[in-house]
This record gives sequence, structure tokens and C-alpha cells, in this order.
Amino acid sequence: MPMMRKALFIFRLAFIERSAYRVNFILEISGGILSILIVVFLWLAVYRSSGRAELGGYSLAEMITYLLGGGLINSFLLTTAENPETSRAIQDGTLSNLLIQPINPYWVWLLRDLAGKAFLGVIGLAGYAIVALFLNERLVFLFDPLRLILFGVALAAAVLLQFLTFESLNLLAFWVENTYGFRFTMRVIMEVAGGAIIPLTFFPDLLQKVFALLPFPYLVYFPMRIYLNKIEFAEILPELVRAAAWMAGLAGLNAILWKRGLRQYTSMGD
Amino acid sequence: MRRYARLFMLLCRVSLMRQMAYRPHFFLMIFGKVIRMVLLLFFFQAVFLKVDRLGQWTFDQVLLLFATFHLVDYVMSITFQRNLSYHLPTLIQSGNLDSRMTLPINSLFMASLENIDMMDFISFIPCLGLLVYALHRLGFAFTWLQALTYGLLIVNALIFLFAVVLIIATISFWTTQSAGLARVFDDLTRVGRYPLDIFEGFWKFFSSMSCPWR
Repeated sequence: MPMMRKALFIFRLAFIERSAYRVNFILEISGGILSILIVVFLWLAVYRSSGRAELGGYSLAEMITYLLGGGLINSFLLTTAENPETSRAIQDGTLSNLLIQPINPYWVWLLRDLAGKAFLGVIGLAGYAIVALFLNERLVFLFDPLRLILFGVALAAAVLLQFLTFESLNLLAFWVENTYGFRFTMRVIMEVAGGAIIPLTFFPDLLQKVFALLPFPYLVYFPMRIYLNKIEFAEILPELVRAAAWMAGLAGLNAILWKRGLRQYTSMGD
Repeated sequence: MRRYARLFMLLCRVSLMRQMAYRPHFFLMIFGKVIRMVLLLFFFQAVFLKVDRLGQWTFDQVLLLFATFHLVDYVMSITFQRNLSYHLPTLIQSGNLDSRMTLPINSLFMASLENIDMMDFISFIPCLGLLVYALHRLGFAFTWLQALTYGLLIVNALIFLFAVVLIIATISFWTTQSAGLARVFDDLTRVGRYPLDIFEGFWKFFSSMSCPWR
């Protein structure tokens, strides 16, 4: 129980910290919404020009829902949540302070990351809800409770997968001086291969096969397929198992990097 | 003028030395930026796999628009954009702007060009390649007058964008943060990546009037 209290306290603290510059975050999320709206206009034009009701297996309403849903997930998952705290703490030596505290720093970073995502998620939800009000006749709404639950589970898996992927890059700070290059490249690839820009079925077959080998489609594409009824119930469970396997693999990698990194970590100062 | 040109070259050298201090990071960033452009191209290709034209625009014309947008975007990010949007507010908040103001050079010059992004400078080369490729696909069908007008319009866009970025950055003299507004502007500039034909009615009017840099 005391552990739970500590966790809740860290979560609350990180949430409050994030709210300090809330106007700034609101503006950042607004920028993201604006980008998505432009892409929505682009797809409206594409459907208009094609004269077809369905493209790549998606009707116009499904495509707009996908873009807005994907944009919302993207806003709290990928836009600003890379958790650079870990690499910063290793590089500037503040990890030493964290190591003497009665809680594992790794859990502190996880909780702070979750709080950051929750904060951005709340702001993003408010922003996208306003957009949805204007586009509601062109949106697909999900009423099936089981599918909604599975969508939530897939979303939780996406949150953890994103954290574990970036954390393994952050932990490289034990060996390299700057991890931003790794994280930047990963974010670029993640955004496209995760289906945050368009559904993966729109890409050429070869790229689709390459993307399927990576964990990224579980970030946006998989939850949105569940939401839009683009995947059968029977296929969802094996996909969730695969996502769990990726999480286990990445968690194992994180544990190895953390242990080996700590073995050679030194910090100097007065 | 020559003094400022020499100073600019010196700032380029210092920026290159500073950014090359972390070599894996330097090359990974270039790789990431090039990948981002390639993936965006895949995105457009994916769109044109489904349609022949976007309004009046063919794939080759959209490619030229895409390359032109990135040409302007790269020149902006190599030079003044990050300096004004993100670096200047930090200098104001930390009080380090004072030391820049005492230097015997124009403060705006220093604030706009202190950090030259050499990573963007290198990843700018494939963008130029893309521009030449797009022109090649269009059969280099332009007159010298059109080429001159194109160049002048790019210079005009850069002057205009400099003015807007500067207006946004100077807000941080009164507020603690202006990065959010700078990001909104970054996202607004991306409208320029797409043909105006994607908008209809009011939105066409709005996007052409609210984003004149397009």
C-alpha cells in the first residue's frame, strides 16, 4: 500500500508540473490538431478527385475518424512524450540523487511518463472533441462495449510500448553523450510505420510487410483498426499476444541496459 | 557588409564544430531528417496510387510544390527559425541576452543567426536533388523569366517568414514561454506543402488569406 501511495504521489506531482505551462501545451496540441485538419482536407480532396466511395478499404467517414483518432493518440503518445528525463538524469548526474531515494528511478520515470501522457491526453481530448463537434456527421462512433474495452487495452499496450521503446534509447545515455538523434529518428519512423499519418494499407505491399515486422503498428494502426471494426474479434487476441511479446522483449532489453549501465555509471562533483 | 559575411562564416564554423562534437548524434539527425522527407514522399505517392490528380494538380506538380516548400523550410530552419523561435526566448528567460547586446554587432543579426543548423544544411542537399528531379520529370519546361520570378518569390517568402517568426519570438519579452505559439506557426506553415485545391469554399479563402506565405 505505501508503494501505491508513493506511485500516486509521483503521478500527481508530474501532472501538476506539466500543468505549469498549460497554455503552452494547449498551443502545442492545437498545432497538432491543425496539422490533422489539413490532412483531413487533403483526404476530402482525394475522395472527391477519385469519385469513389472507398479507398484502401476505408470509406470517407472511416478515414476521417482514423485521422482524428490517430491524431489524438499521436498527440499524447508521440508528439511531445519522448521522456528525455532518463537520458538527462544519466548525463548530468542527477541520477545519483534518484538512486539514493527509496524507490527505483525506473518506476519514477515510468510514472512521470504516464502522468505526462495523461495530461497531454486530457488536453488533446478536449481539443479533438471540439473538432469532432464540427465533423460529427462524417465520423464513425463505436458503441460495442466489448470492442471499446479491447480498444482501451490496445491503447494501454501502445502507451507501454512507446515508453519501453524510447526508454531503451534513453538508457543508451550510459554509453553515448547525446541520445536525441536516436530518439528523433525513432519518432520519425514511428509516426509513419505506426500509422499515425495514414492507415498502413495505403502503402505499397513491400513497405506494409516491413512495417508488420516492427512493433510500431501497435501504437496507432492496431487500436484504430479495433475501433473502426477493421479487425475480427478472433484476430484481436493473437495481435494482443504479439504486442505483449514485444513489450516483454523490450522490457527485458531495458532491464539489461539498466543493469549494465548502472555497473559503469559514475558521477563527479562537489 | 563584408564584416557580417565574415561573421556569418565564422558562426557556421563554430556551429559545425559544436554540432560535430557528438558525431553519432550529428549523423543520426541527418539520417532522421532525410528519412522524414523520404517517408513524406511515400505518403504523397500513397495518395497518388489512389488518384491521378489532386484537383488540377498532377503528381509531378505536387512533387515540385513539395520540393519548393522544403527548400524554403530548410533555408528557414538552417538560419533564423530555431534561433528566433526557441533560442531567443531561452536567452531572454535566462538573462543571457544581456551579454549578446553588449557585443559590437547588430543584436538582431546575432539573435537570428547565432546557431546555424549544419545538420539541416547537409540534409538540405537531398532536398535540392528532389527539386532537380521534380523539374526533370516536368521536362524543365520553364523560361528564364519564370525561373527569375520563382527565385524572387522564394526570397519574398523568406523575408515574410522572417518577419512573422520575429513577431512571435519577441512575444517572449513579455511572456515566459512562446514555444507553443511557435509550434502552431510551424504547423500553419505546413499548409504550404499541399496544393490550395484541397480546400473548398470558405476554407480555400481562409487558408489563402491566413497563410499568405503559401
